[in-house]
Amino acid sequence: MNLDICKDFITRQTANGLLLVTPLRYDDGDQITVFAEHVGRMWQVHDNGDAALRLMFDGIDPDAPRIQNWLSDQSARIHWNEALDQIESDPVEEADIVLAAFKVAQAAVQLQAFSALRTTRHESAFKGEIIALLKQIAEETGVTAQFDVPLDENQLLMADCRFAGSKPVAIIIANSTERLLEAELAFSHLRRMGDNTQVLAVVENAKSIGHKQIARANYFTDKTYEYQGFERAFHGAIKDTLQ
Amino acid sequence: MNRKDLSIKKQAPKRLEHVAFQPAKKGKLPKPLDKLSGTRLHATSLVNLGEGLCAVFVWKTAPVVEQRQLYGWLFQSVENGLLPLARMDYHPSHKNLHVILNCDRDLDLSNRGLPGCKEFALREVAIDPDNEHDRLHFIAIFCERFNIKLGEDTGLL
Repeated sequence: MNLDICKDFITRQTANGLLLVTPLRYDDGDQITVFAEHVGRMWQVHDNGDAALRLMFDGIDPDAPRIQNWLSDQSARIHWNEALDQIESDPVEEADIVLAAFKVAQAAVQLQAFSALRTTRHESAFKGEIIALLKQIAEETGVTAQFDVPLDENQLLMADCRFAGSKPVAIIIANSTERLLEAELAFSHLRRMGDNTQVLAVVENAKSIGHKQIARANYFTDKTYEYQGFERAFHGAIKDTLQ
Repeated sequence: MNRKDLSIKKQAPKRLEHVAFQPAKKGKLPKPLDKLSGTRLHATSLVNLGEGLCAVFVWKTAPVVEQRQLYGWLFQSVENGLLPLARMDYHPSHKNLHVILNCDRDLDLSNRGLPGCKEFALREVAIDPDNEHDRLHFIAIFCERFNIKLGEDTGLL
């Protein structure tokens, strides 16, 4: 039997080099396509940022530490172009374009697998529970609540919930240290802008975030609550804040 | 979401009044597109179509036409965010116009992309995503495909 593997790969000229369509596919069914372009007298192959775009379409940030760590580990075979969010090969001779194309296509397939990082079930359960509780509090108090609300003009700092009214309250569900830091940044930003919105953070438990982080956050938020073991107290504290 | 559910969404009266592309920045759009950013990416805001449906269009620019892309998302608002119903793609590197549908996929895809969903090829077009008129043409096809009235009384195009 003679397998004609090459028929499953398509190459075409572009205005500045070549493109290679592979039979490998992203999760959404699109074929992985890589581009070879001249860099001086050499060639460089890249994925045109398609792998990163697929992650972004699935709610994953390619700048997330675990992804960036993995990309750093791959530096012997591919490089990450941070400005363009694209996977690139080293500059290669024309004879090595195919090998470079396979390296880039392989990395694109692997990068797609990071969509599994979307959220852990654990985080999702915690956040879901708090959101449900905040909706219940909104009904009980009659205070209007909005969810996923930006707290700054550039929309870089997001509150998971914002209660409107004369004493607005922003709540940030801090299921990671980074998220708790965002709460502290939001608090500092609002104070600087003269905005009287109270910023409250809630963590699932002190152990998962770190006692030191929580101690610091209590100075840089209006209040940082621990939820696990204090569910009813948290419910009452938020209601008291709103009334 | 099955064919019947999708058909009901398609029949629902919808109208797209205005679109404007802006550089994509993290946190500007709700999930699942909240991480969308990059020097070559532009996106519209989440455009309300009525009947709990909304759309987002994404344009990727690049030095050569084969690297440029257009995407149109159709979402349904659900309690915990946005449920993608369909995505229409144009990326001339290897595939012309096609649509991916959230249909008969036994998964809750709320706030997610459309992994493993059915894909259908559409009638081929020759457009350049970097051309504003062509982008509007793409949006017009999207509206035609999903039964969305386009523009106000005078029309968008």
